[in-house]
Amino acid sequence: MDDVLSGLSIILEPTTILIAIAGVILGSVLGAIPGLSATMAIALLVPFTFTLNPVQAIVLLTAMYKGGIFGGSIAAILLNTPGTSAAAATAIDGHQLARQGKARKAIKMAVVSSSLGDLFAVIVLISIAGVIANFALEFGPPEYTALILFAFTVILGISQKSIIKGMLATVLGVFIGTIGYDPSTGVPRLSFGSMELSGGFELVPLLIGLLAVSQVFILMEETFLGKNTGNDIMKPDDNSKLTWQEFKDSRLIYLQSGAIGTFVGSLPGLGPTVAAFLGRNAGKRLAKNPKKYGKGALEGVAAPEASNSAVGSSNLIPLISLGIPGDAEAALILSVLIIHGITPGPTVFDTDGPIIYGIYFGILISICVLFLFNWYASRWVVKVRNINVTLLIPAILVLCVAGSYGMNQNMFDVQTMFIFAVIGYLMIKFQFPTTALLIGFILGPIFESSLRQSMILSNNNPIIFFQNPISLVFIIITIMIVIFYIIREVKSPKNED
Amino acid sequence: MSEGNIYWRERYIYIFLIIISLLVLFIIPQQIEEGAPRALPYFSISIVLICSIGGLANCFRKKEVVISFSKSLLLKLGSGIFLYFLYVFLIEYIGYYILSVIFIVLALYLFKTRNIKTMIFSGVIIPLMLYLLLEQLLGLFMPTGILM
Repeated sequence: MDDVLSGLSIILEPTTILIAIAGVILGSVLGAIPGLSATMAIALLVPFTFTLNPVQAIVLLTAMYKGGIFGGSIAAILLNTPGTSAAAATAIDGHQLARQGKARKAIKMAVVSSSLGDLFAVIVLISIAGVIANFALEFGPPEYTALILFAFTVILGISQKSIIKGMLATVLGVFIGTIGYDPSTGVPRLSFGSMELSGGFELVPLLIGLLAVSQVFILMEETFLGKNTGNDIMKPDDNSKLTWQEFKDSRLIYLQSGAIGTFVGSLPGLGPTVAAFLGRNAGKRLAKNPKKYGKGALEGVAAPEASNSAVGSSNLIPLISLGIPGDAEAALILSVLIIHGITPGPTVFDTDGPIIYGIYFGILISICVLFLFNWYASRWVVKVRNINVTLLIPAILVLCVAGSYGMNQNMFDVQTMFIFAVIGYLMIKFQFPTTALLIGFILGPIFESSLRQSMILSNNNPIIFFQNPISLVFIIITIMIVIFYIIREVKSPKNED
Repeated sequence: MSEGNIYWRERYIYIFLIIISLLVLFIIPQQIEEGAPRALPYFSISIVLICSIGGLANCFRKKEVVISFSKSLLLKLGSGIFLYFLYVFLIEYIGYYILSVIFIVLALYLFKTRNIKTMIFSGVIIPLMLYLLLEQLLGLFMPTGILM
């Protein structure tokens, strides 16, 4: 209880509340600009958060992420150009409503369902993260090794089209993480006598390059191709209001889609886009008039919005309780926690309880701010669409350099950022999941330490992973998933061209 | 496929990764001490090699990703990325703020911004705001280069 009260006192500081408000506004504005994703926006901010306290830093990132996801939905409804991929499902019915002169109704439905879906996920997060963490206190090195192996396997699913690409990206991330001093013996690995390489690659420049600058290169390409143009189609006389009856008609959808989003978010690798489409498809069964679905049904807005918003909080369940980031946003939050000397995982409630509860309260405040801001100001947010993207590109690139340099005041980090930006750009173009590489890079060293400790405990006998019931369960599930992936890969259609 | 375009095939990525993996497998004994420190690099790069071979095989079996660029797009995009490369690698010699002004103006020119006022305004305002944010507010000091 003391931890809860301490967390509450941290979050009730005026600065923290102002940070939540700023995060939501900035995220909503950036998310509404096609090409600038919520993940990219928070990746840019990561290096600047170390001047804040941990709770403020995480609140800023989560508020911005939530704002970004929602900003993407506003652009999807009004312009049929989803600001983020997570909003693509919303565009189907949302834009139809906008064309019928009911844009404001669609946006208000999106605000309500996003907030309720997210609230559902936060309640689940608060309820079960601690329970899972308590259970995971029993984990020793073999269980942890098996758990991370399981996480790696699930992450492979990020690349929906090809498991090989997902596996390649993940393992490449693990390999890149091995460059530098060996964590146990201090022996340099693959450093080629370079002082900089001996220390290995830093996480922050790697993630800025991989998630932010690579996206800017894509944006540059689209700008050269003459994309990124659009007009606000909201009619000036659109006064369509969301009625109480319309709100009530979707009450089961909020719950169902919130639950779907929460489940998807708590699994590594799936993310808000998958959740939004799953939520949308499931929502059709509960819609009052399923035939209208896809042609401008309010339920078609409510369902994907509740699902994709729920992911933004539920992805913290494996991160906080087990220390395993399931997607790019969670990986970014993990990097901020690491910068502040906090290691999420089973013991985090004992070591940093007030901070975790502070983060919970911060997320709740962000949801309130998101609701209020977008309920009243969403129609103006879309005006940022008129900002000339070509002015933003150089500004973002210059800021990325500052972010990469700022942490260690080291030019090698800036060069690392550039190299990973090019790698990230090629990965996006060839449909390799950049998030898988990032998660492989983060989890690789933890996997290596656990594996080595397990081998020491068992005198190099791998039977240790099969003797323990928890690790055995993880290993069996991992093997089942791998078999499933192999069958899927083999059965996928051959080239007919 | 239209003539005049440049095509990059997915298979090139796998061929590149196969060569790199073989090279790393060869280099590991010289670069890493024998024993446990070698295990994960060996293990991970071997999987990279196996996946790359699998990916390459898939390119022949299934449809592979082929990205195409028109020559003019490749030239413009290449110029943009090369400009950023120069910016990144020259910062320590010329300095962050001075080079940022030059970079922003050149980048805007590349994006066909011809309004001199916009170019000067962005070139000055963005670095100025960054200076206030980074050095005055956050206490982050960027490379000064020739200003030292």
